[in-house]
Amino acid sequence: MNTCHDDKGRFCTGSGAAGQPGSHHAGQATKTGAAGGKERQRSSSPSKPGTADSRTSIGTVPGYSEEGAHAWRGANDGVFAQAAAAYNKKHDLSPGDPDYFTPERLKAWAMVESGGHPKDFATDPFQVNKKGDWDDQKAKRCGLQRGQAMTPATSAAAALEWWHYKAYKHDANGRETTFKSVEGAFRDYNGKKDAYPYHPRVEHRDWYGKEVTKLDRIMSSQERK
Amino acid sequence: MLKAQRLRSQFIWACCLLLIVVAVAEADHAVAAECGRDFTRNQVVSLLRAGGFTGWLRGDPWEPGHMLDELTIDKIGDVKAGKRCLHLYMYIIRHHLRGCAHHETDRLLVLTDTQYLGSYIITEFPLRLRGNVLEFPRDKRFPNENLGYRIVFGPDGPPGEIYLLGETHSFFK
Repeated sequence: MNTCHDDKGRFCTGSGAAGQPGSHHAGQATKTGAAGGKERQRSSSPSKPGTADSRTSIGTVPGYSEEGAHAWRGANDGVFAQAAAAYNKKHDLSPGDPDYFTPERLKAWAMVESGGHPKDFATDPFQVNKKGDWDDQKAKRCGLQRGQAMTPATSAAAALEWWHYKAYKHDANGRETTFKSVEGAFRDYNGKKDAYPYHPRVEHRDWYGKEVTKLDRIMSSQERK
Repeated sequence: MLKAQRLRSQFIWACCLLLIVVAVAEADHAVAAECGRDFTRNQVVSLLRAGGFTGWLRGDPWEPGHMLDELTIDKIGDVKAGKRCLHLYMYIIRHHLRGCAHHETDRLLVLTDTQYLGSYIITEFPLRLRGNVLEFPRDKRFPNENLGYRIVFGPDGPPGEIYLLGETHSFFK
């Protein structure tokens, strides 16, 4: 299922969000990787932000083809794997922890955010630093500056920190108290309260949280096979 | 003679007290009258621009392909903070980049008669304004937790930080 949509809120088809011929990502990405993003990530050398590392492939997110002109969707796999690893290390998280991030989850999230827009996927795939959404807390918690030029690496790192903040309730002193849920964290990351024709009577933030976690589950089950 | 002096003294004190009461009532009335003031949308936008608002307003540049779904600025009400009157507005922007997820950012704007003071990002719409307290709905997912459901505007004006629905939000431009 492709969750990208046009300016009227309608679905795009899987091939509707065409890759840009001549995009510096086109043709560089590793296509549909099998399992083992995490394992391969350990053996891969650091890749440049926003460029594909041929030895790191996370796999295709269902509904987001990486064939031909859509190869750009695989171009950040190396960056996502590194960002997930750095985030888990920073917060001392292990598989099984609810806020542990796999590269698959990160990539599924990126597809829902910008899987229909090659240019933004190459700059701010998590849409974390958009003019309309500035919040001073992003400077404090994610190290972002308003209007700063974004790369997939800075976008992923900041988005993960912002997600982590949204994943917990805090007390008045700012200490984390209750983990909401993975879905709840995505819901609050997005925050949009109105509905669209493709999810009637459901707030967009609720749909968004469900959609990312659904894709994550599919990706994870594919990885296990 | 002594009794007459005492009566005169009491009368003077009573007059003074009455004058003070009238003065305070007048001052209150003056603030209340100012608090009843409504800006036009253009006046609000002008104050936001002049005050260094960091959000997006119509006419601001945006990257190609960016779509504005909705931008509203609606009045919530007025609050007396000390001698000042604060005007509270709700700013909602809904937007997306073609082929990307839809986003929404909501801000509680605080203005005086002459300037934009700043705003808070808020994640839920306020429920009601009672006096100088803006109340928010409880998070239904955590009904029993005290996560902060109010913004209190004291005599010093808008707080520098608020604790609301389990998150801290700064007062910023």
